[in-house]
Formats: sequence, structure tokens, C-alpha cells
Amino acid sequence: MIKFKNLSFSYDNKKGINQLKNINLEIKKGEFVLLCGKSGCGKTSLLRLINGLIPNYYEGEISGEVLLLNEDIKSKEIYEVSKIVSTVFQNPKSQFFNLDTTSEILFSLENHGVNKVEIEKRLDASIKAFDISKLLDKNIFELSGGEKQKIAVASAYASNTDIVLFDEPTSNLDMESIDKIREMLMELKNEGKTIIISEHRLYFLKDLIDRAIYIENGEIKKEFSKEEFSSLSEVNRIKLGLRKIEMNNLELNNKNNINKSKKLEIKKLKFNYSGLKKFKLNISDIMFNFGSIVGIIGKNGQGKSTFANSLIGLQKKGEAKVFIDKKRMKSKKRLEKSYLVMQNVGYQLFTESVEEELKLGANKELYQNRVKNVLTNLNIDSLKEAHPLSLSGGQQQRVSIGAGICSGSEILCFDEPTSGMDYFHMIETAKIIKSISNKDNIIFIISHDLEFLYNTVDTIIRIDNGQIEENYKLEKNSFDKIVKSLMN
Amino acid sequence: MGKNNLKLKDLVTLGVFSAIYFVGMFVVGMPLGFSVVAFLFYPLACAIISGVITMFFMAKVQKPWALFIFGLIPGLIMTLMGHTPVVAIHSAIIALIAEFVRRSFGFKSIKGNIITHSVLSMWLVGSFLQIFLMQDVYYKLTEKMAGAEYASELIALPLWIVPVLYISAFIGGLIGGKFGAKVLNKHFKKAGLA
Amino acid sequence: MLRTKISIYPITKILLILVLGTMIVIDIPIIVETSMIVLVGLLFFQDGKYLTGIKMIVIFLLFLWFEGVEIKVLGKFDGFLHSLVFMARRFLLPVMGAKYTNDSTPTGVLMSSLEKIKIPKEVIIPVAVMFRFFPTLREEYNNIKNAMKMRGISFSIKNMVKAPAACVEYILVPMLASSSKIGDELAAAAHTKGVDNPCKKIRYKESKISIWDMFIITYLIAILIMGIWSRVYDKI
Repeated sequence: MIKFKNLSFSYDNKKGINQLKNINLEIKKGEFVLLCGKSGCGKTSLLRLINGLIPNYYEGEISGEVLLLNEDIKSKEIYEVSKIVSTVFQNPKSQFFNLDTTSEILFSLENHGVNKVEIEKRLDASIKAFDISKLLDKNIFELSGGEKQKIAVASAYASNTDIVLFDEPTSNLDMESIDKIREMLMELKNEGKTIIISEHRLYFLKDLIDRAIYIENGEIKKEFSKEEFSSLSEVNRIKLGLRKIEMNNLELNNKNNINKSKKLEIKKLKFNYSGLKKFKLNISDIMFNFGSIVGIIGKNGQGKSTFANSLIGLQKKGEAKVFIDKKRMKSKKRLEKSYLVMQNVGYQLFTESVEEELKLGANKELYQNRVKNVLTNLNIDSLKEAHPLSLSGGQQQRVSIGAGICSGSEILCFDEPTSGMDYFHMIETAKIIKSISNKDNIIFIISHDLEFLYNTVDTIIRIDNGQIEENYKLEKNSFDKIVKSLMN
Repeated sequence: MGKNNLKLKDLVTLGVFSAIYFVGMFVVGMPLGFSVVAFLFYPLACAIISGVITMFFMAKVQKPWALFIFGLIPGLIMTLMGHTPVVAIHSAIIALIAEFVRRSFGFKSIKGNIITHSVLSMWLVGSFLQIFLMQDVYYKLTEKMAGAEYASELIALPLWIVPVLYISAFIGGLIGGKFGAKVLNKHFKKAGLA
Repeated sequence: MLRTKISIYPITKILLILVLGTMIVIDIPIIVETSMIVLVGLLFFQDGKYLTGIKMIVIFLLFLWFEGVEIKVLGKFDGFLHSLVFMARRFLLPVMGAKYTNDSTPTGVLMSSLEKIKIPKEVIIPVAVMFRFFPTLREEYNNIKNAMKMRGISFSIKNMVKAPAACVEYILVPMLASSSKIGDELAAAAHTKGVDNPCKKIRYKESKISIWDMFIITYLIAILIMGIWSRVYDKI
């Protein structure tokens, strides 16, 4: 079905670097193939060659052949290729052209001039195959991340293409949503579609794949059958830089800095949502120790972000009675002492150099001397003249963390810091967070990434329905409890 | 055919930047819209603030007709949202002139881009033109607003204010364009985005 | 079969907005204004957006009521306040009309109907993307605003006066960088969905001219007649 013959490619804006070198690969009809490897290895570029975005959208130098059904597609228009290949992208925000869900599901069909009767048939088929009737005719902006991706997958299904590509579709999703996507993938597989998926999160795919292809530096380094992949030893998996394939037996690798003499006490933290949510944020009488790294888990949409925003004083509405070290702090004061590293760090970069970025902020005078230390400790000294927007995701994250430290923050929050990260970067992030934790600060991390949490946090709180339902010290055997509570 | 046609990516970029420009116009317009005197500063203020947006857009899409469409859209939408066709036609003419100004300087010329932005900003005077072309209607309208005083103030705007407004828009554009070029260099070029 | 409500032909909606827009610059009697508010409210209900429709009518009535009220205590400021409210009330119609059109017309349908009246795709696609992008822009703005608050560089009046250039820079740089990236990704996604396929397209949610269009057109003509008649009547 798909054949690569001696394919090499380099992007126009990265001349001299061969993104893909000498790819020879054949994918048969109905196969389910996983592309894995470290960030930047070329997985996404390979997908772009199949759906035609390379070379007609992402331009560059290309040699070799890309054959779809034995036809070389390099010179074909992308819309021609889209008649047999549909793609599900990573970011729900930028893959929907329409504002209402039903139109988006049928958009591809409409664009290819399919008649109304056929369109209706495909819509009915999509509703039957996936449980999406409640999501029809809704404004896309009212959907959760998981629901948006469901629509994206339904859209690919409705278009009835033989080949469906997935580019890291689960990056922002919680465990339950990932499981729903897994079900949808199974349905697609059962209908005989040829599926190629590029992913970091591997555990939900191990039973679906026929083959796993490991890419390193633009070359296909290894190929695994389904059984070989599932039975990869821990040592080998880490050597390849891959995330956990079997979700069990997570090793605890956190540290203990707990400072029993300084506490963060929340007597009351309330917030009333306007609009669609049916519950309220209502936290009361809970105490945390400084020096602690706390993991906040819970299904999406249950109040984790609101909790963090209210705690640090970013969300001023609602009631708050928060005490730091026995002193009551109002939201303005709390905000001065806190920092949130956002999931999309790009929003937090304002200046033209890393060094300037660290110096920007309200507490300039107090913490000037910190800047030098932070540059070294976070490994960004060599980047100090670089423009923050030109850095990689991981580097930007470190700059943002640095900015938080340089503004004297005692409460540091992270919102999904490892979404879309490969093993190496995830471990790096865990290391950095552990290194900045000391007995005078407290760190809260909102995350779905269990592997990451096991490497970082000492305490877990689970938020459901706007309340803290569980609060416990993370132990090696907490795993089953966590999974159960997140999946129910 | 060929590389200089407006591709889908350019059209999408057009849409995105038009949206930002449009919102920028509203944000600047809101505090200024409530008195006639303040509103006279609108072309100037808008031209200054929108400089960054237009300069970045021109750096990103260096193709013929891109700027024309970029200049056309706000005028079109404004007309639909509460102005006479005067605004639409006026902005179409200004956008056309700006397009040719841009071409004569060359797409890569920063100076050219700054001047293009200044020329384009003159479309903001369109809403004032309306007032002059439909004087007595405007009188009736604003008489209700705040009495005869205010209304006659508005009508009493002498005809010579129009060229002054055009000049203020142009000067605002020069300031905004220069600022935009500076931001472009400091940030977007340094980060490799433009 | 999922279509539970009749969709109104997009060209009719555009006509409606044009009429509403022109009404700002023409002196129209209260009765005409009220009738138009009723029409737009009705359209919101027809589209299922009951809350929006009710909110709009309530706001309009409030504005109307306020015109008759005089708060002597405020003195000169009262006049200013009145002019503010009047302005807002006048703009309510076309803004709500535009909102209604944007909310009730799927992007694809809008594009197809503009195609029908021979508008070139070089204008259709940017306009469609622009409207699609507004909600995203609001999200981006909120995120950036939060980020700025955290760093103590907020977008307040005080800061705008003290260091306007810096303020503009802090807001526009992340906004433009992020929007530019989203635009590129959106275009890539659009390509893979065949947006630029030149074939003839039939939109699922497409609508034909229906009773509702007839109703709206008749309503508009009636208003026009009423308007002219009252003008003539006034002058006598």
C-alpha cells in the first residue's frame, strides 16, 4: 500500500540537516504500524510524506520515491492525496476548520464533492461506530480535549480513506480519554484501515500494533513485531529512550525534602463556575508541608486547573482563606509569591533574550543575584543571548521555570509539564523539578503522566467534582489505586 | 502559476492577522469612541498600535495582492457592521494604492513596508468621510445622543479636518511602522519566525 | 436524520446585516428599531440560542428605559452617560446581527454561499478563517493576560500610560508568535481535508430558501415601508 524507496528529505529552513535519510519501508494494506523514537527523530516528517504535506506544504529537498498504491505522490496536490489519506493531529486547537462539530466531521467529504446521500450515510456510520451522538451539533470550543480528539478521529473515519495517520493524538489527554481513543483505533483496525501512528505514549498501543518502527536521527534503526515490542526489557527500552510499554511496576524515584515546620494551609478555597460546569470548587481544611512536591491527579474538567489558579491567586473570584507559614495571604500576595509553568510555555515568554526573560518581573531588585545561579543550575547559561521563542520546547520550559525562581516564588505550579515528551526529556524535567525543590518552597504538579509522577512527587492529591477526594503519600504500590480512581 | 500565487497558507495567515488587526481596532477604538474630540485621535492611535501587526504580516507574506486583501477586509467588515458602503469603497481604493506602493519599494524593503503601512492606515479616515457626505442625517442622529450642542459640534467639524486626519493617520503609520520594524527585528526575526 | 431545525439561507443573513448596518447611520424611529430587535431575537430562538436572545432583548429594554431616566445628581456626567448608552444601543443591532450570522452559519456553508455570489476564494478563505479564529484569539489573549499577571506586567491603565510601548510589546509578541504558528498548523490541517479542492461542493448543512427567508424578507420590506411612511408622516 505504502512504499518508501531510498527516501531522503531535508527541510528548506534547516538546510544541511537531513531530516530523513535513505528510508526504505513497505506498509501493507490493513497494517497497524507504530512509529516511535526520540523527539525530532523524524516520525512526524515521515507522516507528512504520506499525507503529502511534504513536499508541497513543508518545502525542502527530496530524493527517492514515495509510493501510495504504486503511484509516486511527490508531485500530487495535497487534496488529491487526501482522498486516500486522512490525518489526526496532535493539537485540538489548530486542526478544526469549522466551529461546529457535525460540519467538521463531514468537512472532508464535503470538500471532495461527495453528494448528500453519501454524506448522510457516512455520518450515520460514524455515529454507529463511535459513541458520539451527544457531541454532534456542538460548538467545538465547548468540548473538552478528549472530546475534541474524538471528533477528530470521527472526522477521519467519516472520510472513509483507506489510510489513516495519527500524529501524537494523545498528548493532552487523561487516562480515560486515551482509552476511548484506543477503542476507536480498534474499530478502525477492525474495518481494515491501514493505520500509522506516531506516539510517545506506548502502553495503550501494545495490543493493537502489528509492527513498531524505531527511528533514530532520520533513519529506521529497528523494527519490532508486536510480540518483540511487548517483551522489550526495561534496560533496552530506556536505552532506546522510549516510554513505558507495560504500565505496571513503576519504580519510585522521588526525594524527600519535607519541611514539617513550614506549612501551607488551605482553610477554604471556593469558586463558582459560570456556564457549563455543574459543580463548584470547594476545598477546605487541608494542609501541605513546604519542601514537598505534590502531584495533582484527576480526570479532565474536574477542577485541577481551577484549584491551581485559585491557590496561587491568579483566579481572584471566589472565596479563599489560605495561610502560608501561619500568615494569611490574600490573592494579590499569593500571586507575588507564586508561579505557574503553563502547558504552553510560549505564552509566558516576553523578551528578546533568555537573560532578559529571567530579569523581567516585579521583584527585579530583590532577586537579581539569582539570575546567574539559575542560568547555571537549569543548564541554560549557553542560551542566555538566544531569543526564547527560538528555543526547543524543553528549553523554553526551563526558561519559564527560571523566570519563576527569579521572581522569588515559593509556590510553584506546573500544568502538564511532560505532555508530548519522550523518555529522555521527561526524566530531565523530573530531575530539574527535584533540583529546584527545597524546604522553603512547595511544588504542585498537575499531570496525567504516571511514569513522570513516580519519578518526581512525594504526595498525591486527587481532585474530582471540585473537591480533594484523596490525599496520600505516594508509595510504590499506590499504582493500582491510582489507575482505578482515574478510570472507573 | 508558480511561487508567487497566494497559497492556502497565505490565505489562512491573512485571516489570522485580519482577525488580530480587527480586534486591535476595537480595543483602541473603545476608549476613544465616546467624544468627538477623542475620536479624532482614532486614526493616529490605531495606526501606531497596528504597526506591529501589519509589519509582521508583510514580512510573513511577501506576495502580490496579499496586502490588498489585508486592507480590504476590515473595511468590508466595518461596512457590514454599521457603516455605509462609503467605508468599503474608500478602503478598497486606499488598499489598492498601498498595494502598489508596496510593490514599487519591493517586498523586502523595510522602508517600503513602513510607508505602505502608513498609506494603508489612511483607510481609518473612511468613517469620518461618511459624516461629511451625509451631514444632515448625522445631525439628526447625534442630536438624540447628547443634545443639539454635541450634534452641532460634530457637524461643525470643518472640511479641512479631513486632510488633517489623513495626515495624522499617515504619521501614526510611520511611528507604528517604525516601532513594528523594531519589534520585528528584536523578536520575530531573531527567533526565526519571519 | 439529524437536522432538527431549518437553516436560513446565508445570503439572507448577509442582507440582514447590511440592512442593520445601514440603520446605524439613518435616523430610524423607535418602532423600527424595536421591530428589528424582535426579529433578531426571534432568529436567535430559531437557532436554539434562547439565552442569547433573551439577554439581548433584556439589554435593549434596559437601554431604552435608561433613555427616559435622568439622574440629576450626576449633572453633566449624566449627559455623557446617556450618549454612551445611546451609542451602545445603536450598535447592539448590527453587532448582534453579525454574532447571530457567525454563530448560526457553519464555516463551510458560509464559504459555499459566498462562492455562489462569485466572491473569489482569495477573499472567502481569509474571511472564513478570520471568523473561525476569533474565539481562539480570545483564549490566547486570556492565557497571555494570566501569564503577564504572574510576572507583574499587567495590562492596566497605569502601565499603559507609564510604558505604552512595553505594554504593546508584551501583549503582541506572544500573541502574534502563537497565532502565526496556529495559522500554519490550521493551514496544514485544512490541506489534509481537501479545502482547496476546486470541485463543486455540497455542504451537508446547506440550506435552501425556505419559509424563514420569505418571512425575513417580508419583515424587512414591511419595516422599510413603515420607516418611509413615518418619515413622510413626520414631515407633514
